Amino acid sequence: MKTFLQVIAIGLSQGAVYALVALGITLIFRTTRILNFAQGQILMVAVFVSLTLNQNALKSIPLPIAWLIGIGVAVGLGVLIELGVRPTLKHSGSLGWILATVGMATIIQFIAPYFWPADDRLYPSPFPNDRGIPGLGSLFSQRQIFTIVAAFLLMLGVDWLYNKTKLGRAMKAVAIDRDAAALMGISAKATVRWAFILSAALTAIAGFLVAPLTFANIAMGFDLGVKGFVAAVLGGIDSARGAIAGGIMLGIFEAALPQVLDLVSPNLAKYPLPFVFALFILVLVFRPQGIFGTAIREAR
Amino acid sequence: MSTEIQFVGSRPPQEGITPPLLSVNDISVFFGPVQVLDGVNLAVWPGERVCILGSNGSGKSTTLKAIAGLVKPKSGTVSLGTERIDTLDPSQVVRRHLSLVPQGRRVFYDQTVEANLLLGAHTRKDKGGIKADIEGVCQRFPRLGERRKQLAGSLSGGEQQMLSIGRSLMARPNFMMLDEPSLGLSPVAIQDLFRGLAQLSAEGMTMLVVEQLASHALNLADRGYVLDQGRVVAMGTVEELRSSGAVMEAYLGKASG
Ligand SMILES: Nc1ncnc2c1ncn2[C@@H]1O[C@H](COP(=O)(O)OP(=O)(O)O)[C@@H](O)[C@H]1O
Ligand SMILES: [Mg+2]
Repeated sequence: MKTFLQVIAIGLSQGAVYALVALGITLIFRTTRILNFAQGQILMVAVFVSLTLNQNALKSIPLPIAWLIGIGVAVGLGVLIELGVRPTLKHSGSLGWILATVGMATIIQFIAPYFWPADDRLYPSPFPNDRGIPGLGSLFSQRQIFTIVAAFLLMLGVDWLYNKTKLGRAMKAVAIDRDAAALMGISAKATVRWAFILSAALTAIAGFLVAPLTFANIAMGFDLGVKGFVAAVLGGIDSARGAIAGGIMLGIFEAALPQVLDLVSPNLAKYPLPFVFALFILVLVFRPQGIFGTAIREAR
Repeated sequence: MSTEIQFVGSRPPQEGITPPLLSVNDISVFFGPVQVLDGVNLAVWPGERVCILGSNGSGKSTTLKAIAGLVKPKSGTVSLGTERIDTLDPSQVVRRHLSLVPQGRRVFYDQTVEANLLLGAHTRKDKGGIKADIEGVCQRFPRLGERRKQLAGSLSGGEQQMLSIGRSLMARPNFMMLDEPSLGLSPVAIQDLFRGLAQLSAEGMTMLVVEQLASHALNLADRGYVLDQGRVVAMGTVEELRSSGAVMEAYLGKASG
């Protein structure tokens, strides 16, 4: 049995990562009204590219540089997906993007085992000798704090991007009305491209932050992709703050759930995922626009 | 419509004397197999107020969209000054200080009034100038000033039309095209609107206006073109168009609008 504070600590650090993945998903959704189902796979590739560069028999590349290269590869994949969905964006109502993004996810997942082993891998942390935070006992590890702080700074950055920058306003405008945005001098192509680039970079970083807390595994993309999606929808998929709140809520819910289920039946506690989805479906039924989102009106 | 009225009033008085600011030369536009514009010609000189009249579906919006770069003509050219613009993207056309205020206003309803105005200034980098121009728009349309932090979607139709015009002004156009600005507005709002447009014109703005309300359009404009089924079937000064009973009846319904 974990203490209440331990549950919060685990929930916060996991939730911060879900929030980042969710933000990556909303970045693209906000501009294009499509969901990138390959988001988790981008994360996995970024994690494994950086892991392979940092830890191999030939030549170890320092972690920060391995991260940068991992981000670069993620951005490359993001742009590839953007090129794949571009033809379908012109026709609102087209569902070709589902094929393009799910197809990309499937291809990546299919190819990955040829490059990387299927078992759990330890992922390096900037805090290799983690002795916890002095004074806090074993409550928070340094890694957890690092993950929470870094994720929080990135969230602030995205919120600032959404609400205070030209690109943020343009992204919203393109989603609502491409033609009207074009009349303002906004290039939809460039704006959508930026959304995919930023989203991929954010998702890669989410991977770097979560992998030292769990393990790196080529199946991690599926798990995190789904949870990021759940977090985004929980909070309201069009808003940065909603996605953040959704991620944190999901993290805490997930951390607390086994504790609660354990009281009912120890067997139940082994299978938390169905309960996550039950929460998800409940929210969708009672608040389809998300807990913090506003309903999306159709453009005229 | 089967009857083809060929009423050609006087040619533009400047023709052959000074070069037009905008010239649309023989453009044809297709949507798939359907031809929507069939060899449209028109020209606008600096400082002029020109209107395009015509019944629903006659191709007025398509003409403005072709000029703004939103649709590409299959043949024919559009020139601004000496430069061809029919090959440009809309985001390039607006950088040449030619704006379109689209039919239906098309404000970004999920963003604030102020964000909408900032979006209108997307092509600009002069922060100080942008700020001053936002103040300018808010003075021109005080209702927008009062509602700066409100979502555009919460404004009335008349206010949204002001916002749509104000947003276009933020790109510092010297040539504005307006597509049915009075559509769906209350009589009072329409009065306000045309007063605002007359004011803009008095400040030197060149204008090309599409209107269903022929009487308002003819009050504002110097010259006009009448479109029918994608063709220019009549042109002339507003006096000539007004006094041509055949034109008024066939294409504009009751002249009083
Ligand atoms: N995107 C489009 N696709 C197909 N047909 C269109 C499209 N836009 C307009 N049309 C058709 O072109 C014709 C002219 O439309 P429009 O220029 O909007 O007319 P107006 O503005 O004079 O009412 C109409 O018959 C309309 O149905
Ligand atoms: Mg029209």
